[in-house]
Amino acid sequence: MTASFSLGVGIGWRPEIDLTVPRLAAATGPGVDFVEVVAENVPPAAVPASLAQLHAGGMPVVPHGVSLSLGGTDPLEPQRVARLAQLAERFGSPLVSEHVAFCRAGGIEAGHLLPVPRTRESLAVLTANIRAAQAELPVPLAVENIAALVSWPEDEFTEADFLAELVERTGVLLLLDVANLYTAQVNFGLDPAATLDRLPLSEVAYVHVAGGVLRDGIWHDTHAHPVTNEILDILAALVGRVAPPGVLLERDDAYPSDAELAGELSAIRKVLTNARVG
Amino acid sequence: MPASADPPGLADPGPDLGPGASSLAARQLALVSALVAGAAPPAGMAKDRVHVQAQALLRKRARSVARHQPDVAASLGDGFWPAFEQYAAQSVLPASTAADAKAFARYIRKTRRRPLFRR
Repeated sequence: MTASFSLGVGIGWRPEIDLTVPRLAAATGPGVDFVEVVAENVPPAAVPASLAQLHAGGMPVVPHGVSLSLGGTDPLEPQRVARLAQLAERFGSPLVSEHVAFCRAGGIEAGHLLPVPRTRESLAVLTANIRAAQAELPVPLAVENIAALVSWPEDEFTEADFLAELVERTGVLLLLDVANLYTAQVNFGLDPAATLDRLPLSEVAYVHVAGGVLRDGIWHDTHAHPVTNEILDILAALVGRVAPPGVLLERDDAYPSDAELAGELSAIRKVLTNARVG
Repeated sequence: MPASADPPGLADPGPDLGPGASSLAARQLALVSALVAGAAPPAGMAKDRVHVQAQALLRKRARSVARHQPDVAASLGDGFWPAFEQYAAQSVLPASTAADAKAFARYIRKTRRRPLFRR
């Protein structure tokens, strides 16, 4: 399934910047074309007023889940899928997104997205869970590559081949996080260009861009630091290969001034304009 | 893979997730246990990276708790992070951030109280 929608440039809506987002959107010139909300933090029946107002003004909203644990061997929890579906209905969303990850095992919560071993066994689990989720969702699902600090010795696939196989088996779309490609480059020596060459880029629904920090030689994808040029360079490398339907800036902590966020959105737009194919 | 012959009479085993899912379950449980319960890292996984991941999780948890209990965090100043590390080392992970924040505040009240007189 190729994405049949256009999103533009967006930002993650968070309660802490609920007044900033409309200001950025209302700014003269291109501001914010769409927002993404963390599904676990937005009750479908009690959407925060500022978000409801933004949506009522025509802003597209993409629900983004962080706790489905699609790569987990614990059974998929139907109420978590239902919530994504309800939010998609509430906002008339073009799609919803989640992660290629697990976040609990044996009923114990990790409190974070963890990488699955890239094995045939994991592919089978992810395929079953993605198909089960797709069956309950009113709109397409996109899954995201995560930022990892650990890797499994039993990995049989590269990340690109693993994601490509998931797309092939399920028709799932991709949410490509270029900051997480950078994380893989620093933490595991993976060449982002090689990953981009092997991914089915026509299936990318949208892209995540976020900042992080280098600590003791390891990249931490904090979403609390400025976006770096290295990360924008990977976005440029992607956009040189394909025009993604959307690109979204994620900021989750240590919120900077409106001007700084506007500057990061402009930097993203500049990359899109300069590097566009053809 | 040989055709599976499930013993009859078992309860619904849920969707067939394919061969090896149970060993995958054990590997996932090993990683989560190492990260939140101080168990040994999964065999073959770099120990230093598991430690870094555990610390990252703890920092994320501490930030959430600080947002829930800004007064407690502010009163501790630079002592917040060491206090949180001590607290986390001796508590199991609560079910929610709210419960975590409450438990941390309780821990601080208990450990920081310096009674003048003891009866």
